[in-house]
Amino acid sequence: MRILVAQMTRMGDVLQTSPLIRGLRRRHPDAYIALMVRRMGRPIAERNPDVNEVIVYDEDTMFVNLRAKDSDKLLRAYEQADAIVQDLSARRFDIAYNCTNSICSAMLLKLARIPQVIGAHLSDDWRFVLRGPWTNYFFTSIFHREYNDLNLCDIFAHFLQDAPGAGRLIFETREEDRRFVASLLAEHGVDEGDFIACFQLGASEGSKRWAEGHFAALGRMLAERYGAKIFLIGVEGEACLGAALVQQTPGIAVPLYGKTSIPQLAALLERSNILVTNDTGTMHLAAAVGCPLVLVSVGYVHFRETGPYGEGLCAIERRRQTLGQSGWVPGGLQERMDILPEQVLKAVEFALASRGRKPLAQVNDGPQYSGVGFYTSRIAPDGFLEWYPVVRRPMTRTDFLRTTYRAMWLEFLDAQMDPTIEQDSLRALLRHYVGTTGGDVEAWRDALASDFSCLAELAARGIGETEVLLDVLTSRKDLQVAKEIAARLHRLDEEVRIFGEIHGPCKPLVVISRYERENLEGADAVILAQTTLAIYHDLQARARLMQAKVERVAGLWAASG
Amino acid sequence: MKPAREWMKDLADVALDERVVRVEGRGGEPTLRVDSVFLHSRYNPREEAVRLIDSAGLDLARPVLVVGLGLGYHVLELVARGGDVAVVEPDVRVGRLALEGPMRDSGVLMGVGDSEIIAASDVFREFVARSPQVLVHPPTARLHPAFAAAISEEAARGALNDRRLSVAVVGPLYGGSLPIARYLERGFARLGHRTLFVDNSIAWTLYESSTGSVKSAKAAGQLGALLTHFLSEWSYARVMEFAPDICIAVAQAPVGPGFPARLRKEGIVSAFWFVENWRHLPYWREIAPLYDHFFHIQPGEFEKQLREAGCVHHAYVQTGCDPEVHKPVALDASERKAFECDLSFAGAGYLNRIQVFRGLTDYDFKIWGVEWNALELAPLVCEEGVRFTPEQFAKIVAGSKINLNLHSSQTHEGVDPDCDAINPRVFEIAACGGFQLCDPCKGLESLFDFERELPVYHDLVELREKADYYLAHPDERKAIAQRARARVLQDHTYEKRAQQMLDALLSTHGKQMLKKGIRAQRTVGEMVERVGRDTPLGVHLASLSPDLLFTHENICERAPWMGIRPGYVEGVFAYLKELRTSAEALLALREE
Repeated sequence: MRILVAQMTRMGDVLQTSPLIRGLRRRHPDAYIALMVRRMGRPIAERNPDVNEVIVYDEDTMFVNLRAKDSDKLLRAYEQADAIVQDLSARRFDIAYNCTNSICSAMLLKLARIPQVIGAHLSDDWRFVLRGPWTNYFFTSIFHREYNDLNLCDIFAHFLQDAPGAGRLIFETREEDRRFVASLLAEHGVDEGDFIACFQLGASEGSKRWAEGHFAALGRMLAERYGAKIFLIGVEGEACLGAALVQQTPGIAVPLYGKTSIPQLAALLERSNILVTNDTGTMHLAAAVGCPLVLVSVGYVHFRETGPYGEGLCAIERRRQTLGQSGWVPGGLQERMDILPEQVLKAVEFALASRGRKPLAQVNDGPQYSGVGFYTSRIAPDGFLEWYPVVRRPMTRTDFLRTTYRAMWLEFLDAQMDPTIEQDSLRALLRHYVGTTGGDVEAWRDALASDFSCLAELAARGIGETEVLLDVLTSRKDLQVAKEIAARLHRLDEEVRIFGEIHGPCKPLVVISRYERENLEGADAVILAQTTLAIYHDLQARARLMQAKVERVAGLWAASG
Repeated sequence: MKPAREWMKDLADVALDERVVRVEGRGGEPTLRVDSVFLHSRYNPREEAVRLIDSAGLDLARPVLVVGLGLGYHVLELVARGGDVAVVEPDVRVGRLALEGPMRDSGVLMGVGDSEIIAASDVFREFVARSPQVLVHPPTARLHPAFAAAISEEAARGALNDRRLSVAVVGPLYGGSLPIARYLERGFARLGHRTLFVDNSIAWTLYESSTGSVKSAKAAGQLGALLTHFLSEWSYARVMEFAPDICIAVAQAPVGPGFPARLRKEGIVSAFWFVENWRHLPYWREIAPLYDHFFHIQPGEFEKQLREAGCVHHAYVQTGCDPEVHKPVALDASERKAFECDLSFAGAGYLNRIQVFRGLTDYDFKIWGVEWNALELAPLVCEEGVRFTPEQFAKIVAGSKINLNLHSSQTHEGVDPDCDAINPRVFEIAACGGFQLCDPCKGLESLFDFERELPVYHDLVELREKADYYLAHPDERKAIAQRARARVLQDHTYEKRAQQMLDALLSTHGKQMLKKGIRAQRTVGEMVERVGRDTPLGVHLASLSPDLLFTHENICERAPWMGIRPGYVEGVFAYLKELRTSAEALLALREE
């Protein structure tokens, strides 16, 4: 079997795809697995032992040629694209897993005539389609980040049906890299057993960067408390971020911007006691090599989805009402400064203390945790990554809903969940809360159960109308009547949309349903009606499941006393 | 030109003398001294070569023509970096010593000796046809400035002469230079270049109504300045999107003084065409030095003034005619009634014109245009206060037995004997097939034959005499008009003017254009030949118009969107379109 995994986004995403590849390798030990990545992902892909071949996808050169306003360069771009397509075609892959969230990648795989594509793909009439429930979830999770509790690694891993869980990211460090690091550390006077902290000050966007001044203050604290030597890591272009920090922490911080290759950086992280980082590829690398880390989650970063994957990792974020880019309003430097160095120091202490998967020892709330949420990761009994609150606090309605949504999705997406395991997972999470805030669980349950029931009723109306439409299309073939039903369905969709606007907790289901409708495959009216029917059925099923899970989570909460 | 190693035999017998001395450097590497000039560092010539190449900002994916060999350290550094290099050297003695030293056995293309002979060789022509960047070795240029200039110019000509360039023309809001700007853009297009006309006249109504609707002159001025600033930014954005090789702003274009510097930063050659009388409008003094090239319509005194103002590159380029607009037209019955007359004048009512034309009121005389305030002329003025269009102008010419032309003057009454600002009307009347009587503006004599093509008058008396004569001799009028038309179509079209500008720009700024790199602009027909008619791409392109330019906008943007199953080639172009769109969206997001 010849398998292509296409992951043509950033370096960190390549690492996040490694659990999927591990799953593929376990399922198909003799398969030939090729991983297609952009140039920046190559050093990561090359250290994945499950991969037989790395294909480098060079989109950047094509883009430059396309923008050049030059006929010869346009021809070159065409020839490059043609060469990529022909090359992929010639490799005769049996199946491709497209983990790249783009139409472009879908077009490429379509042109290469790969017989089966999981993930973003094009239908035969060149419409963008998403096949499989997990693919759908991946593409729609952006619409409901507030309630999304599933990590990207788990989502990718389940592109493979009934995926055997990997539980960790895969990256192979080698002796040559460790030797390089040993010599580098010796050069900077670091002895075996000395405390090393790495700081990743950069991020893909300025708004995702914790303030450099805070990093400096934290550096001084770590030096004082642990005698830490601080290494500033990142690419050469980020050196300017570290310059001020080096000035503010004389003799403590060593800039290593652009001084290490990716494998050497991995070896450095492997040796390090802690990484304090923004949401970056370095963060995933640290998680892959088992370096304890604290993610300082600022801007619109949603650590539950895109954060580090593995056990005992920490994330700290400003407490807020909305998550994800859609609800985020840039707060400028102030937002980057909201999380205090002392608070991150607490997280570092926690990360160091809980190394080695010790049971989670929660801490009591206090002024030192004011304004921040502080979490640590474990693989939950259900096999998926979960972020548990470190600070013992009351549960909010958002926490309740996120927990409920997680349970619903895992059942709906057919994660083969044993009810006992689900119960264990829910209990494990719920016991980290003390009481509730902003209402009580019983009231939430009643209101939410009613809302989801109403949504299920609306979906049932859609099912009824669509069944009649199908009958008209297949038996009576009366176009006029079909048009009238289609118009009624259109009005119903509007009603559902407005319901979602009014009843916020239901909105994710409404938005996903609409997105699915907009991605219908084919132009055949009967097929379209059949797919529409399936979408209404899904909406109804999800709403009913939510109704049931609301009851279940509330019941477990009550039982826990 | 040939590979360096093949020069060994030719140069082996070149006599060396005490003026060219090989000097052992202090760091162990030799250098050369020619007269008192060292061609390389005496300390570390290789490191110096590295610095020279580092600072040159070359794109090593493109060929490089090095002017000046020395001992070849910089040439070898370029080769070591993977450069596709050719080198030319004027001094055969230097060539010999280089080949006996570091350049021994080098396969780099090399030309040695006279610049004209080097430039005439097929190998040189083939090399420069690939649009190389030119790297001048500074010590060689100090020793041989004429050689360095000549070979750089030849390289630019060879590389750019037959290339389809991209030219943007920025027009004014309003006024006489507006149609000229349009004609110039069409002139470039007719030469086969890709063009953009930045039409600022779309804002004229807003400008006029906003500045005219406030009473305070100060407020009106501020509003006008704001709008002009806005248009300057708009013009810049339009030009940058088009990404031309050359951008020409025409007189009164609403662009600020920073405009040419911003273009230069992007490697775009900037020019200004001042189709005004420099004596009347002094704003040229501030802007002329800012542009790479300044074109004007008045030779002589103005050129001296420009030099004194610090304008290094300037050239005389006259206005002309656009044969598609300025052409003979037939009049129908109603038009004959409106336009037919013995004498006509089409233009603005300057004082010197009013003075002369007051003496012609006894003729069948029609005046067209604005600002004719003299009472005596009022009965002759047609459609008073209305500006005529180029189409109406052609009809005015067609209806007139004699078209009068009199250059405006603010300093003289009647005919201005010192006038040297030739107006475009002289070319336009001729191109429309009209017979004209004109005052002898300075410079006209070099453009027309006054006996056979363009009769002239020096005062009212002579004008009346000649008008009477030619009204009485229609055959002579007809013959003169035909010869004048042939003259302007041959020598005085905007296509010719565009070529004149290009010649000047390539001569002075070809090197700059080469450094940036010229975008290849080929038609679909040319690409079909290039990729082969029987290839899938060739077959697809053959289904499109052969004259269509092979650009992303024309090809990828036409690719089908989702929902339509494309053929393979269309599918690849659809993929490229999506690739560009999504990458640009991402870039825009990051810029936000």
